[in-house]
Amino acid sequence: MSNMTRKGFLETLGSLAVGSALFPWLSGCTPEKHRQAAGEKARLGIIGTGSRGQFHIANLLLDPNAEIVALCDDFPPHLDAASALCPAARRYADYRKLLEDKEVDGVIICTPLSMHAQMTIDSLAAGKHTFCEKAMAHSPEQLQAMYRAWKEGNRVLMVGQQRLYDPKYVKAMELVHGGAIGQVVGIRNYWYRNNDWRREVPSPEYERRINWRLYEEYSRGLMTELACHQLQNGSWAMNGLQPSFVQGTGSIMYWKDGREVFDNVAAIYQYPNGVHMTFESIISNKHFGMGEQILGSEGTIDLVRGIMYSEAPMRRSGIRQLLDQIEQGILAGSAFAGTSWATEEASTDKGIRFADHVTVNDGASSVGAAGDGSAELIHAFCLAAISGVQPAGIVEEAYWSTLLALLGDRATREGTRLEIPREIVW
Amino acid sequence: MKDTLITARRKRKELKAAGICLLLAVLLNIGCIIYYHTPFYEVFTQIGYTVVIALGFYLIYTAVRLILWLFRRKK
Repeated sequence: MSNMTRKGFLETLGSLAVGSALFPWLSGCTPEKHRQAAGEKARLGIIGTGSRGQFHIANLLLDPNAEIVALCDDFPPHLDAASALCPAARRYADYRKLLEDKEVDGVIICTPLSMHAQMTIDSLAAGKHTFCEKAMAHSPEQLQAMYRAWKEGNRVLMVGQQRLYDPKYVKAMELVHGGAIGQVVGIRNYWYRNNDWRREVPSPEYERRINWRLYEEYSRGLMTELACHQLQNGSWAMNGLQPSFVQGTGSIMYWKDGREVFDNVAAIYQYPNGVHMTFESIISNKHFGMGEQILGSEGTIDLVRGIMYSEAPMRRSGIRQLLDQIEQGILAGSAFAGTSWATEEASTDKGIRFADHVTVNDGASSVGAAGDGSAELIHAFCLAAISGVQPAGIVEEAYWSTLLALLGDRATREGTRLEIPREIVW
Repeated sequence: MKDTLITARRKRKELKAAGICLLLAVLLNIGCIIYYHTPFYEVFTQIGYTVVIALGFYLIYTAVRLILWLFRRKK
């Protein structure tokens, strides 16, 4: 997405958000806010210059409101690669040194999950506006500590939940809350891949550092790396209502390569009003790809593909129905023993596309995809770092999605049903 | 190749048959509208299907007559 398109899109979203309780975080992106930030640049330091860090750098280099002034990584190949993208930026091997840099206004943290909490707390304490990649934290205790550090300070905190800035998700939620699909009766999420989730390691001693997603010390696996994004849809669709319970299961059943996190999980979240949200992930079969569906009493929204389906799609004409019936064989539907055993086929409704330029990928990349809201999110952080105004609601969105992911992970590992706190505890 | 002559009587007969086929197709469409509870304006909007079905009826009628003619000729 070009700068102009990104800015134009954000302005449109920002205008939409004014007066809307649905997207409070977008109100920092109105045309007026853009005018106020015109010509100004947020001076940024990037902590963690691996693949995700470089993805953000590539977006920031195109952003008129961003200037990358510092880079930090303790893995020299990553730092060198990032330096090649922005040679003028100062280099650090210790993030605390970067935080002492007076010319850094805002910090972007793209390190392994287990480092997020301490780095974010230190960054906020150092007076830096902070963007932390999702999931927020490695444990509920860390999550609370991060939230407390932000709440007690006066600096901006944003988290890498890019769906909050993805046009098709924003439009979809507008439809959901506008009643287009009736009452929300279920939320279905799945993420299927067929790869081992490994990165190439230059030598064995770097195994745990490079493939940190596979080890419990650094990551909570599929729940924090994948589910965290999708679970946020539930909170959003349920208008901030959070689930009461979660239960789940998981195992290492295919990629038995020394990893410690599950290669397949299934978790069910139950809301107080009886609605269920499911998340399932298997990384040894990618046939169904990624899916995020809001099921309503009158329709279904496919968030990933940007399509809305009706429970009662416009019917075909009478004569077409007769011809279809003849084509299928009039007797085909008749059964000697009744129809209780007959397959209940999915609706063939082609739906209505409500979002253009939908991008999909095969799941091979765990870095990010063009047009997934990442560029808009990081641009919004630049605007917030310039103005010093915290986008409303965004930390809470991230808090809940991380907490749901962490408790889901615990439930899958313990095979238990866990109660979810009703309010943010900090 | 010899000249063929289509008599006025034959033309009237064929036009009458085609008209009956069209009428049957329209009636079928109305029957479907009633049976499937679809809007009555489909009598007009589905005219394309009606004409195609009428043509199908006429072809079946012609095929039947052809078979009967061949059968009689053999006798």
